[in-house]
Amino acid sequence: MTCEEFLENVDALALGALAPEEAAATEQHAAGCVACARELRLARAVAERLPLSTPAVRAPAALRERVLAAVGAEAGGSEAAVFAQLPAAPPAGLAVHAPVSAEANNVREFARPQLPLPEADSLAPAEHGEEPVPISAWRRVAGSGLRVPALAAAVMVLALFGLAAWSLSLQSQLSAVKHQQALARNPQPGFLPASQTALTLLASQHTVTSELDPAQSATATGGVIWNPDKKQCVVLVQRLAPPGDGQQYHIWFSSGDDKWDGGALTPDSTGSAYRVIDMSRWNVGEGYHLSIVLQPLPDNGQRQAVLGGDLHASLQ
Amino acid sequence: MTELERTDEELAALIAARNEIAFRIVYDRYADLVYGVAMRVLADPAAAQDVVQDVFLRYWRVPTSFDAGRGRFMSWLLSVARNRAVDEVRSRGRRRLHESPPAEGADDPVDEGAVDPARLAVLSSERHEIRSALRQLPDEQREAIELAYFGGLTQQEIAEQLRTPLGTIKTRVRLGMRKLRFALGVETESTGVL
Ligand SMILES: [Zn+2]
Repeated sequence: MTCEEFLENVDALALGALAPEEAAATEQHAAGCVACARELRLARAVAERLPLSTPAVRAPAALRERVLAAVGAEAGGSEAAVFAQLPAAPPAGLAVHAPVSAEANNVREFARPQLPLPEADSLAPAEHGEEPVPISAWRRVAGSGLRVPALAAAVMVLALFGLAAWSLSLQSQLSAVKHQQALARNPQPGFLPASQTALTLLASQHTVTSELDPAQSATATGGVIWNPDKKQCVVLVQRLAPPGDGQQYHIWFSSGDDKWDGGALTPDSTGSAYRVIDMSRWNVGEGYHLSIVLQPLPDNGQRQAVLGGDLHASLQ
Repeated sequence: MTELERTDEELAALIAARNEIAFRIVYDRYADLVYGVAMRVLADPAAAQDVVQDVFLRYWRVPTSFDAGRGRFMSWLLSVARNRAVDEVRSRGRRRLHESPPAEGADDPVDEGAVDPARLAVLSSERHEIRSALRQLPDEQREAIELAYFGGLTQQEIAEQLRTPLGTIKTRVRLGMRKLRFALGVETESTGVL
């Protein structure tokens, strides 16, 4: 096709008014000709304005319900279904880490989303634990619209843990998306397994999330995603100061005299640390206090609280 | 800034992260426009509603089908709606005749609760611009363009339907599109991204 022939057809191509063979030939010319490619862009820029010449027509409310219900059902139908919906190609800059977890075979029904999420306002009183750490507000996540497919798992984890006040506003989630786009090119070790577990928990019924409250001078922020049924939680912390020689961060569960070491928490160079904890080993859960402490290595019992919060399966 | 004031492109990024709130806002922002386009092409409420549902659900399933690097979200979404509606028309083998462009000030029930006033004003000025540009075209040029775009007819089919030589139709399309390009100021754009 010559440029002259192309120019005869370019507007019709932009309008979608060429037969398929003709359209293909015309597009092919533009693919190899800079000047004609520009003509095609301009013609398309005109064509894409045309829909705006048409008046909007009030779409029926029933249609809205149908569409949003279908989206809700697909988003929350099951983890397997959610994973199956992942696009073949990730958006630019976003890595897809599709977890094929055992959970994916164990299809569960989720509650329908209820938007928007209410503000957390329920504070549980501190009753036990030696470390005098403030109390944390818990909120229920399952069924809140925070059910997340793999593409967004890490994003959501960041949205939950990386931002002040656990704000679940679109603004914070958008920041998290941008943050994750940078992070995805250079993921921190340990983050992806933790985020995948977090995903699984977030997608499960009865999961609660909580922000951990910093002790006096601590600058760290963090939180827990906990599912009482699964007896599993993910602890994520950011802005941890380097522990210093002979010291280590640990996670402790306590209730009265009952204390269990949930394991070490090792911050990376950015101060972020993640740990998946199987709580069934000690049967800890409801009513326990979770603390992040800085302790000597070996542990001599002189532990300095950094973050803490109480585990409550439901809002009081 | 409230959530409703997010740009389309910000909302699209959130939708790519499977954010249902963002999807709902986008639906409320554009469902009436998408429905309007589908109605213009199909003139059949049931079929047009199917198109609206199909367009939005496909977008939710494959949010990467919108590529923010290649242009505006609204243009993309409405083009998708037009293409989907035209596919439907073609699959039915049904052809609609030309319909006049809407009069200025036609009822545009865009949900004001879902669109902030600044956005509404921009939208309204863009719509005024394209409508007025179309009105300035000679009738036969506008007719050829609208039969192609909203009628889903090829130039050959337009020629047959209007019993007019193909060459004449091609000329009308080309001249009309050229005039629109100038009227809309597209000529000054350096890329297709407006
Ligand atoms: Zn050329």
